[in-house]
Amino acid sequence: MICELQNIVKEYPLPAGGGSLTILDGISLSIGKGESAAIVGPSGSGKTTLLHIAAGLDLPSSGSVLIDGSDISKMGERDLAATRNSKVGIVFQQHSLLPQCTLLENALMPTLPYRHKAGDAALRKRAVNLLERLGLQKRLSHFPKQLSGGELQRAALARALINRPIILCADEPTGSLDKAAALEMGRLLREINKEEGTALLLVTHSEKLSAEMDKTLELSGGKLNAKN
Amino acid sequence: MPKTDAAKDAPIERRGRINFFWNLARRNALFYLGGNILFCAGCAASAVILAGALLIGSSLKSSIRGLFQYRLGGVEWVAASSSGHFRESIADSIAAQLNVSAAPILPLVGSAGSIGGGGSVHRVNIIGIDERFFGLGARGTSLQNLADDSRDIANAPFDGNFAIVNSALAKKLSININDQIILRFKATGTLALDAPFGSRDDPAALRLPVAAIADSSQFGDFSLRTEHFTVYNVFVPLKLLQSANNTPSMVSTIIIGKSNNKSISRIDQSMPITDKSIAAAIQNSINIKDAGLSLRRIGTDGDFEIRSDRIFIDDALKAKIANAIPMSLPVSSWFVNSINKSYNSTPYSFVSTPPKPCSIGSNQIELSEWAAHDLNALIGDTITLTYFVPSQTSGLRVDTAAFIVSAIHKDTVSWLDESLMPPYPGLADAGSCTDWNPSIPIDLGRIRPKDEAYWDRHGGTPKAVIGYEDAARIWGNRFGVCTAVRIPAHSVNSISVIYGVNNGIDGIDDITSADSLSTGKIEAAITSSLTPLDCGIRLTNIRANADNAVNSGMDFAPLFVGLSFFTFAASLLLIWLLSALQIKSRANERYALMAMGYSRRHILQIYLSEGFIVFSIGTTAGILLSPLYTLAVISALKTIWRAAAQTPALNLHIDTASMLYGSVAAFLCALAAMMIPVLSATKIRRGKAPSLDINKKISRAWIHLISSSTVVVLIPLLLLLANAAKSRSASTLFFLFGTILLIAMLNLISAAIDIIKSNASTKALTMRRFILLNISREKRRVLGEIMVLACALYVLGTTQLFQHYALEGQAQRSSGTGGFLWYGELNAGIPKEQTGAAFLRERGINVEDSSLLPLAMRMRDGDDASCLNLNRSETPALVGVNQILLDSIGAFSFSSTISTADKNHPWLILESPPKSKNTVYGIADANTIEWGLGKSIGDTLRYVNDAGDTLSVVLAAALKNSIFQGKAIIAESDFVRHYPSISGYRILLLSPVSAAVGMDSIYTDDNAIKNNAAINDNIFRNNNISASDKRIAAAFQSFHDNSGLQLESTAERLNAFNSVENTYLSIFAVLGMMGLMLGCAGMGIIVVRGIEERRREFALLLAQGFGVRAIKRMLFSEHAAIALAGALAGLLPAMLASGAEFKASSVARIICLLFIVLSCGIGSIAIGLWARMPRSRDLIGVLKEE
Repeated sequence: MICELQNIVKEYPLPAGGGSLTILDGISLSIGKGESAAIVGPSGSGKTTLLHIAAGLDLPSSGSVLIDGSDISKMGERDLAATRNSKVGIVFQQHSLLPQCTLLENALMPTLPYRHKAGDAALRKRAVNLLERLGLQKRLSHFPKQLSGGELQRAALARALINRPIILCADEPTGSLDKAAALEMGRLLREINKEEGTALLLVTHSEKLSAEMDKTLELSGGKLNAKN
Repeated sequence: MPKTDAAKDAPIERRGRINFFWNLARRNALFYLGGNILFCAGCAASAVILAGALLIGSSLKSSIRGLFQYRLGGVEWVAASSSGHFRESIADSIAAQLNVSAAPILPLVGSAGSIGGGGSVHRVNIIGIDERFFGLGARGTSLQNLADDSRDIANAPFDGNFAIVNSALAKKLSININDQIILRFKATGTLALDAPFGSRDDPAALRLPVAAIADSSQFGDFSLRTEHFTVYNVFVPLKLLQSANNTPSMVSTIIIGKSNNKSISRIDQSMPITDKSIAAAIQNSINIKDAGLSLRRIGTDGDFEIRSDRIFIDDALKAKIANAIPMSLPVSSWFVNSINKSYNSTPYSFVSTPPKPCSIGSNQIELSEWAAHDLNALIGDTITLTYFVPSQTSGLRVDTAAFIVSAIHKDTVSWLDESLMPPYPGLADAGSCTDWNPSIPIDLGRIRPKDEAYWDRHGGTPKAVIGYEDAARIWGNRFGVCTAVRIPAHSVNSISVIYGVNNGIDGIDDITSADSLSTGKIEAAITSSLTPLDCGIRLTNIRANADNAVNSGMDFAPLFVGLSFFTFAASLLLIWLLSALQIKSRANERYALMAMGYSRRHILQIYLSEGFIVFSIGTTAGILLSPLYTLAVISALKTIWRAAAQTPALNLHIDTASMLYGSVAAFLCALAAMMIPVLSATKIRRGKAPSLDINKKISRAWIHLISSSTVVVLIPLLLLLANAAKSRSASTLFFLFGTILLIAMLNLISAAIDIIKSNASTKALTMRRFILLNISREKRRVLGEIMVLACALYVLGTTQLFQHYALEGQAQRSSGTGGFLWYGELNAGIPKEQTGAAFLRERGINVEDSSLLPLAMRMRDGDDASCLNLNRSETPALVGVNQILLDSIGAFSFSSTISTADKNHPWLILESPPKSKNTVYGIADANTIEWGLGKSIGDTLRYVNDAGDTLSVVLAAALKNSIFQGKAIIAESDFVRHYPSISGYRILLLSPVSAAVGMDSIYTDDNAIKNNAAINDNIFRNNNISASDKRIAAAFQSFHDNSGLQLESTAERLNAFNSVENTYLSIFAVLGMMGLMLGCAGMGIIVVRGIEERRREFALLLAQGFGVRAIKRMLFSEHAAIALAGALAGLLPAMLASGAEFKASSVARIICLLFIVLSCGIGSIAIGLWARMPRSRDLIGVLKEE
């Protein structure tokens, strides 16, 4: 399995001595290579929290998160960051591109903190290819403020894919896009999932997008259930 | 918010990984330009403060070092006698032996006045010099420089009658070349004032034309004192001053420098000149004349007699002579008031000890036939002698002693002759009894014709003889009783002399005369046993002393660092606040980086690199600006803050190391301040829910509240204790406790915010509560804001509360003035009887004893150890006081004493028996002990007494903020015991008299006194003193003007000392104002940034029906509450920290201060609101975006 969540529990304390609020209550989930899964559910159900835990951005109160067989919930901060960098690609609802960097620089950003076997030139070539594939070949030297929402989200996707992750975690990737851009984004995600074998775990409110995934899981009351 | 387009920057991705962080940091630095400019400014401010503080310290040190260089010129060593004079030829001898430059000088202290009403200056150095003096000046100094201006010097250097004045004195007296100057000084060649028959002559006077004015580069500011005060010098030809001082060919000081003689051989040059070699050269140069001794042959037996030019040969010297010549016999001759037998009395006669070996029993007296006849005395009769002896402290007392007549000598006894009479001034040189003019009170009416006849026939031939042991017992005093040492002629052959260096002794080389040979043998024998200390000569490495004084002196660097502490803290807090704001606004960026797999370390590296670039620029700006800041402070130190440095000789000295250290420290502190919020923001929170429940949180908040309150209460108590103990670390404690108090206040407010937050869900929401919740939302930022203001107010508050004003309570005995109104120092000692009301009455001024309390004190000159002197003093001026009188009137207050002192009578500790012969207890001002001397209670000051022994003064008590700053006080009895050569009283304290004396009844010649310009200046200018008190003071000053008395109001004197501390406080206040400006700027920035951050919130409020004005009001209330909390957080610790010094009069100043701070704080809030508060339509735009 590429990603395996085992009995994940996430709790938050309540104010005024009210005990704690359990957001995720013993959730288990697994995604294999080339698989895709969509997590749906009402607002506040803990979808983003679950995605962040799966991506190693957040840690569960209890339970294990296995990425490529390694339990990232027990990792130290440095190893966790390295795992995120090399094995996980993340796309947010908002693009979160660095405004001070060009699209190409943003795409290359994940390649910089760690040494890569591929040289700088090879990495740059991959970034350019990715951006070209996502239709941004004319925008390489543009800054985020010069791009549309759809373009920004595609650039964020390129950035997430630059290190060839084994799993792509997308948090409402089409949430801030118009219909056309959302369709295009969905297409790209599926394409990458299928062509490169990258596992895809996404959180979405879009029924259309979720329907295109291999499986759709509904998070409600802290429990994850398969949705027909 | 993006401020610039970075598109033209070099692409990041083309560089390697290492360069990546730098390139990204550079890009970020430009992208967040607005915020980074503020960072730069904060860092530059802190670098300027720190580097500037260090630069001020190094500049001051360099300036003082330069000043000493000018004052000492090429002088390296000084051989000086504190108690007498020695031959000037010793200088030649030293120069010849060591190939060094040596110049004899005769330095005296006196007054200088100009003819024509230019006033007079007291405590002027009148220095007798010859042509060798200027050879020791700084490089380039020569007599020729001065001769260019003066034909007198050029034609007859140091042979004529002229004076050279230094430019400071010339300016003070408004005199020019060829003007006349009058010099008055107490001749030091006469017998000590306090000694029996001591000289009461008026001060000597010289009227001389000014031949040249020498500036500091021309050695005009020559001074051997390690002080930086302005010196007033008059240089007079050595021979002329020696003559006026009654010390021909004698000097009291030799200045020695390394030779500039190029002709010295390489071997000589390679021989180092050390203290030891110079001491050896002095040892080789001295002879008996340098110990004040002279040898003469007397009587028909051809015996030799050694006499002293000080009349009395002290016991140590007597012992040396006895050691060198065992056959020598001490002789004592005393002038007695009367020799009595029953009702018969012979007035004013000399009584001597026998000059020949003679067995006179104890309490036995042998009379001359004349005396026996006059008294009708027979062998076995009882005879009483009545005589004056010096009392233990001052003046003379009459004493009597009874003897049994054991023999009556024929008047023809060969050894009972006139040669036994010592050369008492006023007696030995009198032709007849009516010409007698001794310094002791005598009644010439008691002298009978037969006494006159005896004097005419026998002169001062003693009329009675007693044993030496009896003489020592009854006449014993601190000056000695031995008036001569006789050496029988027949014993000379038995004297063994090691002939080596002849030390300039006459007769050694002249062996043609047996008499000369004998004289030479005796002198050589005594000389061989003498050391320079026996002659009072002490060698000092003055260069090392000066270096030491500079190095251990007042260091302005830590002082200014200390004074700038809270301002520096405010600038760092500002950086911290800005960083906290920026880190929050960049949360998305940080989160994206984390998602990309950037570890915390990577993120920190990015921020650190960014900070490195920004703060490097800020630090560079700080380095460039710090000399300007230093120049501004130095300029202030020379003008408005002159009291702090007390010297105009201050210049900027660029010290790269100081600038570097300060800047690097500021850079690191700024980086740390910036990184604290970054570290906090990038902290990875583990997945588990916090175990601490809300109740525990509330409990913890209350614990914080209570513990902080306890600290706030406890710290002032500790400060009070520290203040009471007046320990050396009191100032350190002030900063430490101040910091703790501020932190405690911060903790207190933090706890209060926590409680507000914790109760959020349990209390009903009101507008006030909503404001409080808004404040509590960004707790750390709010605390930072509060702290910046608190730091500034703490500084400003304490500076106001610690200010000293001597005029408050000056009349009280317990005050720093001791309740005395006037304080005066004299150039030369005056007798005690000239310090009281009786003295004024004798001069026709009607002042009752009960209406005037004079307190006269003795003084040995020393370094000024007051806070006016920047250099650390080793031996402050030593003052001998009447501790019983001071105790009885309860004068002055003490801040601390040693444990054995009686707390109710601390003055009496001076009476405590010394631990050893040369150890006494002393008292000094607390500030002097701490700052001037760098010591504490129980420490010891070491002096050298007249006998050449070390006198240890154990500091037993500390006076609280008194007029005695800079001096060490011992009991008068100890003073006279250790310094018999220092005569008279040189400090005069006068108590108020106005209540007891009618103004009009004081003077007979009021105009004469009022016409004296100097008196008018010093005395009549003070409007707080009654006219009658001023006139009493003016009378004293007028009558003692020749002795250089300079009276000043005690309150003014104390204020002069306080002005130093007050000036430091002013500097502190100015730096506090800088902190306040930073605080207000920070507050404005935070208001602006807060508005930016909360636009969505405001838009929502607008949507809910809030008006823009209501939102503004809410925002204003939030920040005003923060400003008020900041003001209180600073003010309360300030008041608590200075609780011991708190005065009601300070309340007004504090209220004023609070008003200023709040005005500034609230003003900055208002400006921020006005500048950045979005209008209604802008907020609607934000809503649309939502």
